[in-house]
Amino acid sequence: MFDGKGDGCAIDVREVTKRFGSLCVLDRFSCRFEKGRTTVVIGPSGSGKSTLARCICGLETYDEGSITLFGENVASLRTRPRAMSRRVGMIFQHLNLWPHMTALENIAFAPRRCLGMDEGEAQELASNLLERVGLQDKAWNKPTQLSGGEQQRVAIARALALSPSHLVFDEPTSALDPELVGEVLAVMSDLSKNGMGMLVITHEMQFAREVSDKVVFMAEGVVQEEGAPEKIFNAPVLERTQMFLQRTMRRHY
Amino acid sequence: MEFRTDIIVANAGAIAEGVLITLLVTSFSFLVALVLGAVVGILRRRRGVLSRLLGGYVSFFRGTPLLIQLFLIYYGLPSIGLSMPRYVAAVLSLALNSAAYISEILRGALGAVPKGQEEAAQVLGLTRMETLVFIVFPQALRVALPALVNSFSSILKDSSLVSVLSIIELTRIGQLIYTRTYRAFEIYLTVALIYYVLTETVACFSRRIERALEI
Ligand SMILES: Nc1ncnc2c1ncn2[C@@H]1O[C@H](COP(=O)(O)OP(=O)(O)O)[C@@H](O)[C@H]1O
Ligand SMILES: [Mg+2]
Repeated sequence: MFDGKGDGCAIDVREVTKRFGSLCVLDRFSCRFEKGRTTVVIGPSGSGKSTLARCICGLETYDEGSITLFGENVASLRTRPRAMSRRVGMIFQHLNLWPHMTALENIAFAPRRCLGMDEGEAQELASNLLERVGLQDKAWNKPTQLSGGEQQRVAIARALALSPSHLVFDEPTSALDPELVGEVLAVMSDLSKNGMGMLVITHEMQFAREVSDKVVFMAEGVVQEEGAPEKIFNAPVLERTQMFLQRTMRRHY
Repeated sequence: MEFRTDIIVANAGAIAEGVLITLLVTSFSFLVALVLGAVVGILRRRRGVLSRLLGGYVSFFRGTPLLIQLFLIYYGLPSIGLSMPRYVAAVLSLALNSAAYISEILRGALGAVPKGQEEAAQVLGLTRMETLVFIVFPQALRVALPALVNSFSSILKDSSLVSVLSIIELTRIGQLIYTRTYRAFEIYLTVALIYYVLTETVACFSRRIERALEI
C-alpha cells in the first residue's frame, strides 16, 4: 500500500549534535530508521526525543553531523526543497489542527497548495483519508467539535495527504485522555501493517511491543540500547534500560 | 428655552454631506492604517534595527497628541519640501496615528497564535508566506477583530479634529451652522448623536461578524 517494505534507510541520523546554549541535547547522536519499518523511540523526559524528531523534520537546526532522508542530505526546512519535506510527515503531541478550517479542509489544504490539486481532487482525497481513519462522518466538523482522539486521527490523515514515505510521531497520545488513546494507536497499527515507515516516540509500551520492528532507548542525547522489541523488553542488556522500563510500566499499568 | 428642531431640519442636507465626508475620511484612513499597521506589526515580530526603528515610530505616534501630528504634517512638512492637499494630510495623519495602535494590536494577535499552528504548516512544506497568509493571519484576525473595530470607531471620532484644516466634515458643518444660528445646544447635541449612532452601528456590526466567525 505504501512505499513498501524495502531495503535501505529512510532516515539516517549521523553524529548529530544539538545544543541549546550550553545544554547539549543531542550528543553525536546516530541512528538509522529503515524504510517501511516502524521504529519506536523511548527514553526519559528531557532526553532529547522531541529535539531529534524536530531536527529530522526540519523544525530545528543542528550544530554538527548530518541527517539524510532517502539518500538526500537535508539541513533545515528553509533550505529544504518542498518535495523533500513532503516525504516525511510529522504528527505532534499538541493538538494542532487549524481551528478555522473543517476536518476536510485541514486535510485538503496542503495537497492543493503543494501538489497543485484542484479543489474537487483534493476534497476527494481528503474524504478517502477521513474514511481510512474512520471519520468520514466528521468531514465538516471544526476541530473544536472533535474529541482529542479524533483530532489526532485527522492530523494523521492531514500528514498522509501528501503521500509521505515516512511518518514521525512525537508522543501522539500523550495529550489525550486515557480512553481516547486506543483509537489513535489503532490507526497507527493499521498504517504500520500496511507498510508505512514510522518513527514513533511514545510511552505506550504495549504498542511498542506489538507493532514495532525496532525499539531505540535513548537517554542524555545518545542511543543507549537498540534492538528488536522482544530483546529490549525481555532481555535488555543495560541496567539502565531495565530500570527505565520498570518505572514506565509501573506508571502506565 | 425651546428646542429648535427646525434649525436641524433646515440644515439636514448640509449635515448629510458632512456625514458623508466624515465616513469617507474615516474609511480611507482606516484602510491605509490597516495595511500599514499589518506591515509594521509583522515586521516588528523579529528583532533588529528595522524593528527598533518602527518601534520608535509606534511610540512617537502613540505618545503625542493627534492634533499636533496633524499640524506637523500639514503645516510643518512643507518646510522640508513636503506639502500636500488638506485631505491627504488629514487622511495621512489619521492613518499614521491609527496604524501605530493597529500594529500593536496585530502584533499581539499574531503572537497569540500558538507556534504549533505554524509548525504544522511548515512540516507539510508550505512556504512562510503561505503559512502567514492562510494559517496564522486568519486566526490572528479573529482575535484582533474587536480591537480593530474599536480602532475604526476611534478614527471616526478623531476625524472630528481634521475640521481644523477646514475640511467640511460633520464637526465643521456643525460649527458653520452654529456661526449662523448661535444655537449651540441643538447643533452639537445633534452632531454628537450622529457620531454616537455611527459608532454604535459599527460596534453592532462587529458583534455580528464575531458571532458568525465563532469557531
Ligand atoms: N527551544 C529550546 N530552547 C532551550 N532548551 C530547549 C528547547 N527545546 C528543548 N530544550 C531542552 O532540551 C532538552 C530536551 O528536550 P526534548 O527534546 O523536548 O526532550 P524529550 O522530548 O525527550 O522530553 C530539555 O532539557 C529541554 O528543556
Ligand atoms: Mg518530548
